[in-house]
Amino acid sequence: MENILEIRNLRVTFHTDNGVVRALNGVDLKLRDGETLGLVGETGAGKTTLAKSVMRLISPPQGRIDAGEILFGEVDILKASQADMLSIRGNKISMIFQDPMSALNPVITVGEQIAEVIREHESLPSKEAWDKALKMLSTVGITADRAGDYPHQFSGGMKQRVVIAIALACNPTVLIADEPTTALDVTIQAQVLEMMAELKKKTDTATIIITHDLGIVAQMCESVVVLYAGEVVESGPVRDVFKKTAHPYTIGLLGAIPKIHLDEHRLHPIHGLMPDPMAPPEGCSFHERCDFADESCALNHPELRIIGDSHSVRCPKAVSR
Amino acid sequence: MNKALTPFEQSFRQFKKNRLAVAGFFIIFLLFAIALGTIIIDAATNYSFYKKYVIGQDLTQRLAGPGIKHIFGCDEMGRDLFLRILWGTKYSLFIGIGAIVVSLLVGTPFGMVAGYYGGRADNVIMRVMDVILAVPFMLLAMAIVAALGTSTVNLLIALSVSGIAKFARIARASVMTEKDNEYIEAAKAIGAGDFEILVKYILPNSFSPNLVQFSLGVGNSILLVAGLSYLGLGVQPPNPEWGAILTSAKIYMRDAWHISVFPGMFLVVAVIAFNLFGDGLRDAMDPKLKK
Amino acid sequence: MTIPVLIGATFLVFTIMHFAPGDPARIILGAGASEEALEAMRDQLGINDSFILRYGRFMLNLMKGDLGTSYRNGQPVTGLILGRLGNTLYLAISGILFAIIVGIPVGIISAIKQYSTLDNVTMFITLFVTAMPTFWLALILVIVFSVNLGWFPASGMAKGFPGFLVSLVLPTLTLGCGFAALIARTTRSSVLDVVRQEYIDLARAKGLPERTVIWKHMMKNALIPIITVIGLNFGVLLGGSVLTESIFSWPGVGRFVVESISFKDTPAILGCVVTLAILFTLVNLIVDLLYAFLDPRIKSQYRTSRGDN
Repeated sequence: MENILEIRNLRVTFHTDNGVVRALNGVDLKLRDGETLGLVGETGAGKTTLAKSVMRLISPPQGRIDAGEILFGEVDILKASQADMLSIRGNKISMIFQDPMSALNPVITVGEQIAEVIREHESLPSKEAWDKALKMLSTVGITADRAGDYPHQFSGGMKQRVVIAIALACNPTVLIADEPTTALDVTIQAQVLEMMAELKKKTDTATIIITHDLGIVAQMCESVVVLYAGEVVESGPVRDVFKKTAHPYTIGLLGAIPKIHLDEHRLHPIHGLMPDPMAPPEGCSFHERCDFADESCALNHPELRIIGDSHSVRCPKAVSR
Repeated sequence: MNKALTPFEQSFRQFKKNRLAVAGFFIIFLLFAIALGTIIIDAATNYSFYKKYVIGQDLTQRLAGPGIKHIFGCDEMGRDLFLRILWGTKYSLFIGIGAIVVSLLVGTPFGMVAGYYGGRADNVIMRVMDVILAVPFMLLAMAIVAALGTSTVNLLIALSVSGIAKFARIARASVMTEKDNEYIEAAKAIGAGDFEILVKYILPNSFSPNLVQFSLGVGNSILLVAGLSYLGLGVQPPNPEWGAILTSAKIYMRDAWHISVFPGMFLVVAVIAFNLFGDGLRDAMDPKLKK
Repeated sequence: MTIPVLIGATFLVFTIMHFAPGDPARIILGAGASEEALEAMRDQLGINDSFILRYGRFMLNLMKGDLGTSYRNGQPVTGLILGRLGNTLYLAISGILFAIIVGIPVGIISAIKQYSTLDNVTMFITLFVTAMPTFWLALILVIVFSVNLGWFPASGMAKGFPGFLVSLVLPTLTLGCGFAALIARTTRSSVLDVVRQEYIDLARAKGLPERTVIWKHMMKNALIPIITVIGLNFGVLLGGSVLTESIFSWPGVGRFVVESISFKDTPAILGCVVTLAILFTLVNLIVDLLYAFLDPRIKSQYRTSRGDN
């Protein structure tokens, strides 16, 4: 299958009063047509930065994209004109935001918030755009008579449905879902995921699901990219990464999930914290927390290398172990 | 940060980083130095310097423009404008600050009682404050001065009345946020009385919003003193209050622009200094703005 | 809520004026009047009655729209004020319009170009302008535009078109500049606050042009605190109109109150203060309504409290 989105060597930094935060340090990622890809990592790994880079929503002067290419078909998003960007955003690539509570504009009706994106990209008369917005609402399970209501009149789960409706309104080719369920209650999470899976079946949109929940990856994704401290540490088909886990960090992540069929008395967390993004350590960025690390890990920064069928890992010990 | 800093030290560091606020602080310091300097000279010379040069007339120099002899020029009585402005500093500074001090001292207890007891006390006190705020500030001050007569004390009263309502509101708000905290419960549990709780526990916590409002209020109050004096309701001529100097400036603006320009410049600089200082304090003390 | 506050305000001002020194009878009749004539006049004015009685009478008349008789010229105060209120409103409205038309765009540009030279310069100017005393600004404007350039009259209100508008320019600038600076600063910080919100990112992620993002998504939210500041400071503006009208000899309520104070014309002073307090309270009422219009969260609160939600 064709790569619909390809990110090469993406480097993003944020310049704050207290120093330079290295959010992404050379990330590569490929998304194939119709595929669902899980982007996994803990808070601060750079997941949201990656998503916003694809939308070119990293805002200067604090945020800077220092290097890299984001190829969407023939277009390099980082070099595209503003006009091209406007016709891509919300139309060909769209994004589901993390927190539905703050992602909806409190003073505009939800119907209008959906309709405006349709009006913008499909030259429809207002009436038809509005009708299509109503149709989108019912697609995500909200009755059309609520289109005139404001966000504060909706529950968290309903708001996230509205955000999803906005993202899907123009049938995008690529959808980026940034932790679409993190802000929701567990029961609502299941409903929203189920709905997304169904919509995905219907539309076959290539999707990147950003999450820190490996359960979601196992349930929804075909391939997975593990991000750690702004770097890809392991990537590949979900089956390979889960069964032939290669990177110590991924091993730790999978080990940290409590297993319902085992009688476990303790959780197995990864000890330590992610390195300070303003002062990343020498050598491998994970070596301080790694059970397998030796002196060479503190000196040499490992490269990403292929260890199986499109399965790559950033750890020199991955195979020998 | 390496060692733990007290909130005060943190705020101080934050404040020092703000160059404009530090500049404001130095201007305020300078204004105090000028005001005290003129008071000391008056005391030392038993007002002979004041009588001779500040309010003494020299009609040969009438409306003289700025020059080497009189750097800001002279007014319609031939008095040196620069000296008059220096001697006017103390009025703006001390009446401006005094009015806010009175507002703070009177308004805060009312606001604290209203916020702490709630219910009827709150209702009565805050409705009275609403009433005071319903009359435009300037008008209220004018009416009070008109009723009581023009004197420095009356000017102070007139200026502080509206401020009372403002400070009462601030104090009430901070008491209401503090009073439900557990440490107040704890203080009650060890037998602290209402008065002790208000003074020992709640008052220190409402200190910083009041301090900020204080500094921002001084700037405003300096403008009001000058405004009332300009209308002839404040400091009376021949005393060289900045607003009072400007009253005569209007009559002579065709011939002597300098009488209009310089006192106003001093007013603006003084007010900016207090505003910058207040903004700096707010930024330094507001935990929401800290990163 | 509005009515009790207004009654309280009249009581406050009435009490203050009650303690004003000076004998109205003597003001009316002049220094040479005989003691009997003075006494008769006092009776006629009702000054010998108790405070409560006088306040009661004042309120009763106020309900009927009668603010009493001016000590200065014996005319009804209501008429004197109504004749001037329009001029005050022209000035106040044009001052506010000027402040809004200048302040909001300047604040938006400053916020969008945060930390640029343009932002720094405009913020310094607004700092300077907010610190300027109204009457000093007026003096400087008159010296520059009237005495030296001769573009606008230094005082008075001209009749007819375009004379009226020309004579309105300097008073408007005097009254509006400080307010414009305040609005610009509020707009800037309010916009900066809204810019950080995630729904702005989402609006951009929809591919909406920057124009729509700013005017539709940002401004409606940013306007809420701006409206608050405008409403809260309308009283300051009315206070400023007292000074502005005096300086420019603008025949409004503000100048009237200053004249009345120097004549110790108590009914006129009371009348003016009551009128301006009513005006101020009305504006706050309008601000509350505007809120509900701008912020659906408040609208539904109203609905809930009315019980038909």
